[in-house]
Amino acid sequence: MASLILRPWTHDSPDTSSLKDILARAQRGHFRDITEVSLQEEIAGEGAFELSESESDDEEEDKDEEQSSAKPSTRDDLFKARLEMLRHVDAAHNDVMIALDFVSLLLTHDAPEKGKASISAGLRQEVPIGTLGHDIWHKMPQDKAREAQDELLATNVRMESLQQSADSLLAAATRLDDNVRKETRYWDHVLSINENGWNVCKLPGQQHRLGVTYGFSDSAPEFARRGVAALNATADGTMVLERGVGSKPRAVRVLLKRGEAVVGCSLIPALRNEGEVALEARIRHARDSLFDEELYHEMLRESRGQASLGISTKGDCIVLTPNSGESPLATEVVFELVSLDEVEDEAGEAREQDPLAQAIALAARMLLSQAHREKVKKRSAVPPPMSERKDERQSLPILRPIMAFMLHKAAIDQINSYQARIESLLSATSIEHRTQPAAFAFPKDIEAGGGEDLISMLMQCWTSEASLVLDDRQTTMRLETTLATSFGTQYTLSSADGRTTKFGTQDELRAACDDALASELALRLKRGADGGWECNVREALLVRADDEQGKGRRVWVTLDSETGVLSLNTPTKKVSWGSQVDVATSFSEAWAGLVE
Amino acid sequence: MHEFSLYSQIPATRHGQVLQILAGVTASQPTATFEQTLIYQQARLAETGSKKAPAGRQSAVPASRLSYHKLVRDLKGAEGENAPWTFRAEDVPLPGMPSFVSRATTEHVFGEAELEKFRQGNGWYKYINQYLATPGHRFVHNNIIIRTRRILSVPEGTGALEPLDAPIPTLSDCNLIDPSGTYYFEARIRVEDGGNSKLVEQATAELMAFKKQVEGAIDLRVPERLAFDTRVKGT
Repeated sequence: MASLILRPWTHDSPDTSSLKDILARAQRGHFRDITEVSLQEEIAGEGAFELSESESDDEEEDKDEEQSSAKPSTRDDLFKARLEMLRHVDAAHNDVMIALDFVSLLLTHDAPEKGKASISAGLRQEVPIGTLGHDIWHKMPQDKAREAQDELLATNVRMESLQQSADSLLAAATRLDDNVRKETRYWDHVLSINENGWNVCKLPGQQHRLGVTYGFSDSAPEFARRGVAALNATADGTMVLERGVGSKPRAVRVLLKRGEAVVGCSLIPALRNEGEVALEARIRHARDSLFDEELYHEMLRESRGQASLGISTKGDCIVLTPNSGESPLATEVVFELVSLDEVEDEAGEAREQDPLAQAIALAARMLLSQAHREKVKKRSAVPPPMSERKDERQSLPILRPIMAFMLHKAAIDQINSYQARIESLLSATSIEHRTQPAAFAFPKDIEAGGGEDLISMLMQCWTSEASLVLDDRQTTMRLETTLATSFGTQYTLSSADGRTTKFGTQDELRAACDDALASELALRLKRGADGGWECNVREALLVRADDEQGKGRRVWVTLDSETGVLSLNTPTKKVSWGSQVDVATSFSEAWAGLVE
Repeated sequence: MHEFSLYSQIPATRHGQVLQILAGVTASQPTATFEQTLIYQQARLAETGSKKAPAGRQSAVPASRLSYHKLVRDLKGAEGENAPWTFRAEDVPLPGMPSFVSRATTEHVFGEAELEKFRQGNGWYKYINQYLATPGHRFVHNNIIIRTRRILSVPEGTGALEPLDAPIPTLSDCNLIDPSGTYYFEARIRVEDGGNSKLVEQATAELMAFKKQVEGAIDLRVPERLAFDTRVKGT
């Protein structure tokens, strides 16, 4: 039977469905691997397939006809033939009834009674009567021109829509390409950062962003929170850190000042290392800056509690003045937080105490790292049972060890200068002597296993000794600086006759040492002189009893290092050596002269 | 003091993974522990064998029945073999706590004088058994102490020496109590004064928060209360 297929004209509108839907309908699966060549091959293959299909159809039809004309031979065949015939008759009957219904429905419009009589019950229920009408149309003359035009229009419209789909596919392809390129660049950046040792992690709040951690987890909470920065991709695929992190790096700088002059300055880290990408430079700046800011913050906290130790703040700087009572020429240590962009290059000229300033800066940083380590250890130890007591956060000991070191150094310098003065006096009098200046005492074999060992050496109690030997009798001055038990340096004087005395300030030590040396000299005189002389060691006084002439002699030695004068006195005469007086006689000669 | 704890079991295959998870949660490395625990039965009721003068708090927990007490020492600590013994007395957990185990405990480090009571012939304590807990690890997370270990039972010695003084039993002789090699996991938080409700609330909130945090990786449960009973039966 003939089939009636109605094809609508192609029209543009409402078929502007999105590319996604069209692609889904195209049902090609993943479109990443489609290329022009593969599509063409497919088309070629399909064409062949279609052709072959139509061919096989024709063949089958011929065969069918042949088979049906053969006579039925067996009984079964007969029954089969009968059934087939019945089927055909049924189908024909069905067709006729449908045709009848159609005509009846048509009739109900114009002649309802006749139509209703012949319409079947089924159709009656489905469709209301009188709903199908008919018109007679005269067959239009075949308008060849119009048909050709329509044909052309149709072709053009088809081509236009194909062109449009091609264009959108192309646009999708370029966009995909772009995205792929951007993603590759992003992941390249991330990989490079990861390979350089930075830790890339997932950001806790945001789902599709990665971040880099550069902070220290054991810092104070406000610094630990700042230790993560998100990595954002900009429009052209480069990567930046969020919010301008790392753009204003800061560092702690140590200045050693004597009075107003700067005698030492620590190094500022370089702005950009060799072979480092801008992004990594940023991250490194962020980390260093965070560390130094934390260092400065902790030092500030410590300084507030330790004002008694000579630590004070002047403006933005933390100032350490060892021995604030001493001369204004003592070196003071100044810590300040400078911005790397704005710092003037003070490190241009090398100053005499630059290494010391650099060492102090390093020591401060190492002490902060050690404080972090201590925190971890404390955290891992079994905690005591919870109670109402709330522990205040202890200030980290960063300034204190440095202060101890500076104090000890200042003390050593002073002792050595004192000894030098004594030495010059003694040489002026040509008295035999031997001195040993004080110096920092380190254990013989320093085997530092790591940062912790170095720090424990820094935190120990500093001790030094200076000694002066006169005729095999030794006077020793011992310095001990520790901030654990008491503030400042403890001085111990061991005089030659075995007495040891402890002092708190250096002035007392000097005075006592002067006296001890004067006593030594007096004793020396007594030993050298012939009998009859009594020596009062405590007063450095030599007395000879009255002899027959009634002439008693009293001679005493005074040594004053403040003024720098050594003198041999009698009630009437006085011989002095020292900075102001220039006497060429030696001690023994003067003694001989006085004794007469 | 008062203790709140939760328990779990970790199969041997998951042990490494759990250690990693805990290291991440606590942001610190595990401390290895090797504990030896001796169990003693109180033979006589007196001032519970504690040398400290009974302050108001402690005598509020009168020992009305004889109970089992423990002596624990950590052999991996700083002193190694000469680590001091810690005395530990645990009470029966309080009833009516479905979410965690809550019990009063006492822990002191004992010196030589107090240890005398635990030796044989003194009439205060009778030695029952001992066990080793190794390999063990410990983490500390704020106030919570987290421990995982495997328990080994020690074979009966010939008893010439007091178990207090005997050398450490060789590990090859000891057998695992649980032959499958499962690890025993405990999370514990301690409060100095069990009567201070504010502290107790804080502590339990912290413990519950920890349980929620490791949910899915480690399932912390409350075992049966009477399994922790330390009272001596039949007295």
